[in-house]
Amino acid sequence: MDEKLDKKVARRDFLKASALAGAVLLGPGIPFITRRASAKEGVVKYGTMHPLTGPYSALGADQVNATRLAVEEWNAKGGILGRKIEWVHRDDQLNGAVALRRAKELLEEEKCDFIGGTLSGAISLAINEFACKNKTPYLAYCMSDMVLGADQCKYGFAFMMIPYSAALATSKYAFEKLGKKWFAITADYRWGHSLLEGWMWQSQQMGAQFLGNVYAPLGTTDFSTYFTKIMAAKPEVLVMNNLGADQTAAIKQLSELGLTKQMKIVCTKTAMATIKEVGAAYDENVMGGMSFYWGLKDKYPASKKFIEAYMKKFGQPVEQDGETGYVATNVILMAMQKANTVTDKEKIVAAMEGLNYTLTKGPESVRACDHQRVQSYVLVKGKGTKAKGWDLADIVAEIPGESIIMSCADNAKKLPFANIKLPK
Amino acid sequence: MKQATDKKAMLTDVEPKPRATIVWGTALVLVALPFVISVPLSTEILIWTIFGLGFNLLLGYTGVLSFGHAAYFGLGAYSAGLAIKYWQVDILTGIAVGVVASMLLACFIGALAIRRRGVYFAMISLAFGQMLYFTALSPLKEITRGEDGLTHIMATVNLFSVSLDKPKHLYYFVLAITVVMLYLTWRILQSPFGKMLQAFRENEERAKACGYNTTLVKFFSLVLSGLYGGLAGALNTLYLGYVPLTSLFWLTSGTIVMMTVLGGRGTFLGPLVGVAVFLFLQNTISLFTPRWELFVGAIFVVIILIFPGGIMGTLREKYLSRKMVKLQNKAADFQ
Amino acid sequence: MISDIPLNVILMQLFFGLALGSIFVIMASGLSIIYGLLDVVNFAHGAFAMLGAYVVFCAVSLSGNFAVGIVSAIVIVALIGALVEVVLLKPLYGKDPLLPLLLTFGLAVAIPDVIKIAFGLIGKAVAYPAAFSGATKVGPLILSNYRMFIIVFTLAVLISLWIFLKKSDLGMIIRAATQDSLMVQVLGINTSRIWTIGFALGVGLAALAGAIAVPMMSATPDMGVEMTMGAFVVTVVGGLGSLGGAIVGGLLIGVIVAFTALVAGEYSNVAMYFCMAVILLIRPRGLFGESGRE
Repeated sequence: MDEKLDKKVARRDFLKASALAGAVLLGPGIPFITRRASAKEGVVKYGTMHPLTGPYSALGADQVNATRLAVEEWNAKGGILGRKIEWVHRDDQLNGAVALRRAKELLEEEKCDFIGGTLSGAISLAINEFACKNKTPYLAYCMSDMVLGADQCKYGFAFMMIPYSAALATSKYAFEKLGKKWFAITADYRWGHSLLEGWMWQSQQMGAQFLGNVYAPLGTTDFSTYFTKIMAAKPEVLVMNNLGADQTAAIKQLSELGLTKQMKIVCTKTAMATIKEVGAAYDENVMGGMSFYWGLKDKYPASKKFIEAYMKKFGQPVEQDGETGYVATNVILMAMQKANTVTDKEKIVAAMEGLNYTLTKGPESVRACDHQRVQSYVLVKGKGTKAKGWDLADIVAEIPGESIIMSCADNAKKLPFANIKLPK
Repeated sequence: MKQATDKKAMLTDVEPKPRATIVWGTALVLVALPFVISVPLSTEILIWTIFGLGFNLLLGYTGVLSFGHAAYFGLGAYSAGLAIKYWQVDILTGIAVGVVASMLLACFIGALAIRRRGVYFAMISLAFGQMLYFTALSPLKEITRGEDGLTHIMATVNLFSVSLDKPKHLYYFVLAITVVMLYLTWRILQSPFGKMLQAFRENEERAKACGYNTTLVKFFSLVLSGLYGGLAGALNTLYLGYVPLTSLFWLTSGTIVMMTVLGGRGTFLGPLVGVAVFLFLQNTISLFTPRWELFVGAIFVVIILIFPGGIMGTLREKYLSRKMVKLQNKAADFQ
Repeated sequence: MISDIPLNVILMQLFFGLALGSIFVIMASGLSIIYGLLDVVNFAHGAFAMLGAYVVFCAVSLSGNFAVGIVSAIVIVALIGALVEVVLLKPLYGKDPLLPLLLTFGLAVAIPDVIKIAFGLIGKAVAYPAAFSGATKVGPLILSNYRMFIIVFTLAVLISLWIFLKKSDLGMIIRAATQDSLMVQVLGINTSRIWTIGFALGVGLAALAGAIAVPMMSATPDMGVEMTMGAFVVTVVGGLGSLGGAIVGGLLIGVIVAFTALVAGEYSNVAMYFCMAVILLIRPRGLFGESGRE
């Protein structure tokens, strides 16, 4: 009797377990078996990667939104040369390995005609190399060195800035208006170093006085341990060559000691998310650079149009990372229109080179020699406790793009920054 | 208590006789894989499976949890990448360099920490893994290129004079190595060494009392596991043509733990099934929501609570208990 | 190198190091209590700290009072911890000792996403409490008021914890159960409830660490990871399951990180792990670990 019961129970358990295992295996498997998208006729396919998980997911989400807006606007107008634009996006987890797998899938499986996205300059270098090998246009949405030196590639286009450009813009303003004695906190990886190089060069050009620098590892949460050095140096300008949570922690802790009142804090690159996370400590003594701030809507009709469309759809203004994606998507589609082809990649690339457009700010262009978007850099200062909702900062200056980018010949050799000797 | 031991003894009696068919059968399925799912995903499944086989040897068969396995994976990836980039060695030598480097690291960590108790070893290995990560990030950035990762490693992937640049060609190259590793794992498990590992996992004290040097065996198991990790890392370098810094990050360690536990610790096919299911889940859920980590984490918690044996472990247990009931019935009939 | 640096700089660095170490101490004490009592390495410790930070954000937004924030962080997260222990961890006792660790790892992966859904992707700022903002000049030193508060507050927490464990009935039962839970059970005490209380106490401490850290770094969903790592290193250095080890280890690591930052900033993260490796080489069970438990 007992054994029979046992047997029944065992069988039932076994069936349940198998059903569960089957469900686990098959459930997610179905889209996989059907996921093989063949290159459809009459469609242009664009694939992008964004960090939708991890510490920068807020910026990744903006990239997705803005790209969606651009694609939907074009499709509403009837697509490109009679074809609909099909867009797919993937989570790259801010992880180079995942990003490269995504890129491979987008190209080899989804048969995308061109790819874009990414928020990390490091990842953009790897994707750029991959896209180059596969002769596919790649539109980077992030600050990247990929247009410099050996990384220059016929198919890679950079739509934010070269890191040094951001440094040249902020440093020029800081040395002119805020003071010439400066000290820097630099995130210890290539992007941070590139910014520091820009500051050092500008400092030499303008005769500013460099008092010192500390390298803080990426992901530092306690900056107080660096403050002793800074307090001893007594700079007029304290430069932040870092991002995200690092920048937030640094500014908050500077305010804790009242240092934000004793010196001007200049963030070479900042973000609305960071200003929100810092809160009241991001006051008028803290200045930051952005390639786009929604306050530009009062200056340019194009900005107004873009911001209004974006806010109508997503209910909040866009970060610079999203704006970059919007421009990138628009520019390649405009290039297709100009070249009158959606398939001939060589012609599309040629049409993008030197393309002039006005989309979100004043008139801009994509430089033919190194595929860098030449755009202005916006400097903002915080509003402290007066910040409300998304009204987070006041624009203090807009530095024109031509003044902060080196010549084609220099960029090809990474000059003059390759000659800058960084402090130990 | 006694009943439980009896039950266990009976279980081992009804356990199917091991045959290598499982290796060849699996190989056959894997040959067809890139025709069913995407080639990059298939390749990644193979690479993680190799990593998982080694990890399972340590966690599933020896009962040692390492939470810093990214160290072996990452070191293998970097060593292979550096050797190919700077010494221009062929890919097989590059792989060998990666494997040897990871085994040496495993020897070092093993010598330092393998004597520690289970959870202690988990924390120590995690901390060592992070130490390697931060070392590659900042102090060694001249060599590792820090956050950028190692790019421009090779223009083309060639095995002797055969080009492996086509995704499918590289897949079958990795598959050949995977099958070798599957077979090797199977042989290890059938060998006296493999039996010894499992004896320790079941009851370390008893094994000690029988005069075995448990520390030494655990040490060898760790080094073997390092070999698999290094190999997987080196293959990942060939597959990506790039070494991301994240290969050393603790999340890589966490991922292989989740995959192995999901598939079934201490089962031969557990790692393969776990890797496949994990990547399926990750890919599929992230198509619908960016919050896929919530689902993967929750599924993992449920597996731990209800099916601690993982998918293959639970299936195996059910199969065995069913078979045992049959045997019992037979015995009852006989009486 | 150190000899070139003026004394006041060294003293200030020491001060910053102790403040940093204090947060490590609170994190690691919680981890140690949980491990000592339940034999569980709580991988979700940082995630609970992050929850604490978000509770502070909510409480301060509602009440405007930082003290209310700290208290509610401890209470609410401790309750969540108790729930987690009863529902998720209890079924695993007596099974494979690695299962609870893996379970908490799963929680550490899932919990940040819950917060992202509830509070959005952008972190939340919490201002320094008005009473402790600014800095005080002490001789040649400029000391942050908030960090002085952290050091004193940590000291107070540790003393009350010590009194609780040494003098109160419950504390004595907890200590006894840490030594030998079977014996405690034989004496007719409900050890199951003691475990729940112990786990709640441990994650309550994690929440406290998150709560006092939040004005300095803002609450973000992914802040827990680094906090877990730091707590692990401290616990390994101090000795797993030892409260004294957590205190000494935490302060030691804090000071080491501070001085590395002064001399060679880019090594400050590695220094912590390097220190751990060295201690393991010299004294495998950690500074205060009991032999036989490692």
